[in-house]
Amino acid sequence: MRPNLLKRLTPQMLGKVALFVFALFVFTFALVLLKEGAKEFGPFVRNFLDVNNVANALGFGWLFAYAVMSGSPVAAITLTLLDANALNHAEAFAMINGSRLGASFIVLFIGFVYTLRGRERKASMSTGLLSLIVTQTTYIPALFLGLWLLRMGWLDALQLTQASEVSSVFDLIFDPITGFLLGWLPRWVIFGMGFLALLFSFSLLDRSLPKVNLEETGFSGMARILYRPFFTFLLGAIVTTFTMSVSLSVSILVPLSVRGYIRRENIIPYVMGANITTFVDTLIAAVLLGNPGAFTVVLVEMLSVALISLLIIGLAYSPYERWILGVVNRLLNRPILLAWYMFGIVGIPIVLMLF
Amino acid sequence: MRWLISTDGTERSERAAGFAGQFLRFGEDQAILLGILSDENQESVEHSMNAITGQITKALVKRTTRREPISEAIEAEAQAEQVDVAVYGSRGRHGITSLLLGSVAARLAHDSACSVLIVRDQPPPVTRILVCISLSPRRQATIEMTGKLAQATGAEVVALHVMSQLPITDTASTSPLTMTAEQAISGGTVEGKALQETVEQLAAMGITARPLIRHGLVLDETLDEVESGSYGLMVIGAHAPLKNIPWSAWLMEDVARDILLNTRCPLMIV
Repeated sequence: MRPNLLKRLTPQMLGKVALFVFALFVFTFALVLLKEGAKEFGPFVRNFLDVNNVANALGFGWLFAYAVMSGSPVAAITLTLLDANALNHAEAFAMINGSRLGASFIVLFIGFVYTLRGRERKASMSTGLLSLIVTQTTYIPALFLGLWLLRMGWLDALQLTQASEVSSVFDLIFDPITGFLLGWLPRWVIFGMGFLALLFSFSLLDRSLPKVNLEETGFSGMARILYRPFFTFLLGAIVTTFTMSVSLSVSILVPLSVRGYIRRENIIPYVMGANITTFVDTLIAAVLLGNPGAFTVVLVEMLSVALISLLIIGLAYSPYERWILGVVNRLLNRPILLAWYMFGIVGIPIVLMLF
Repeated sequence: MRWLISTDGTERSERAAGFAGQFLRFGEDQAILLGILSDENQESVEHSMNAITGQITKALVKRTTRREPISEAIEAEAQAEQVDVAVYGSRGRHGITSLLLGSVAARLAHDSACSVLIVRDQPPPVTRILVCISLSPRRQATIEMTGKLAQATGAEVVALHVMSQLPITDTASTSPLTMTAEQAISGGTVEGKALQETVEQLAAMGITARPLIRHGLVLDETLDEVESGSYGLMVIGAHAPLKNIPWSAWLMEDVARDILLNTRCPLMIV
């Protein structure tokens, strides 16, 4: 490292780096625990919860994300279930897809709570509802495209694996710990510990990631300038590569607007881009698990969402934009429609679980 | 103002010249007539130039010809003569045709250093002008141009601002997002102040102007207003890169071009 670069490293930055390394360590440990625990949790999911086809895997991922109010932990757990052969590739793909559909609900739910507390419905729910509908309208077609891509197997050969030295170090550290725990605790408890460790690792990751600052970039005028959809799409994808969370990426836009507004034209492609790279942590989990099938599933998920989003942006962006905004407007202006919509997005995954 | 009126010998060029003629004020405006020649159109250009000369005699200061592609000829002459407005009678290509063949009007609107008046069809005399107002300080030039055009025709002006914002924080107030122009002006919002300044500036030029706010997508609301409001002319600011943002011309949406390709109303791009 050059001396001038060393000088620029502040203690705060070094602290962030250390926290990030620690977060990755906890994340990896959580995956190891989940992998071991999944050997018992897997049959429970398959036999007791009856998750044994694409439809109910989708519903299960969707509801699971509602329960934990986030998609990333559900996606990581899905990969460990795939690794334990509790799910096949198509079911894992559908469950991860469902986890994203469920993850967007939290923004809407928070807005709904604000509304109950007397805030204006439009102020509280507009962006959340918009994000949710953009996610639904891209992920549902992406589900069918992805299942087809998985069946074709075109992406199976494309793999990213961790270096054998790295996996040896991980084995050296984690094997004795898991061996000790397995001697004392049942696997379902280990799965639970893994789950808690996973949530803890995500909270550490949130705190360790660098603060993305758009104020000094060409996108500082987000609130008043109309950007081309393709560029805001790319921006959403790039920002989310660092934040790993769609809601965090959207919150990064807040300082750009003094009055707390954003242009309708800019938010839709931004969310579309964010919806792709939000899988970066799941992709890392797949590499850490060392399961080629898991990597393919996540890659297909990212690729199919990206293809659907690019098709919309390239071929039918204006009608899509008008349609989305029309739906959001109608839902916000008619409480009965909003109630039916919310009832639907809770009811549909429950119905899917019955298949 | 110095006007460049061009003809390639087509009927639409003559229509555009006739339309521009109503804005020419004797003693204040100067018009340059440019014939754009090709191998096939020499006779029709000569005939067209004579017809147009009859329409703009009071302001005509120069007649000239160039043998270049249309947009290049107009740009070169506009630059050489330091004109303020170039007039072009557009064929009105849009959609796939415009993508494949290109649009001279769009190229002029994008590349030209001066303002461009694009005329399609056979427009009626101008009695009502729609001016689209942004919150950028550059709107001053657009307002000033609108004022001059309204003075020449005695038209009334509607100053439109479109708000396409959505609240992104739960603490953001939504009331400015539903306000009418009158409410925004009395409430002293940023949009209200911009509209009030516009109305006052136009009033100082002796023009009656009415402020208007619409809420929705900028392109859709602007097109809807111009379609439904029986306007004789629409005035908008050009898509120009921002000095402090590198690559901004590529990053930003070209609303002026989108409006140009989607309206039949005569359009002045400032």
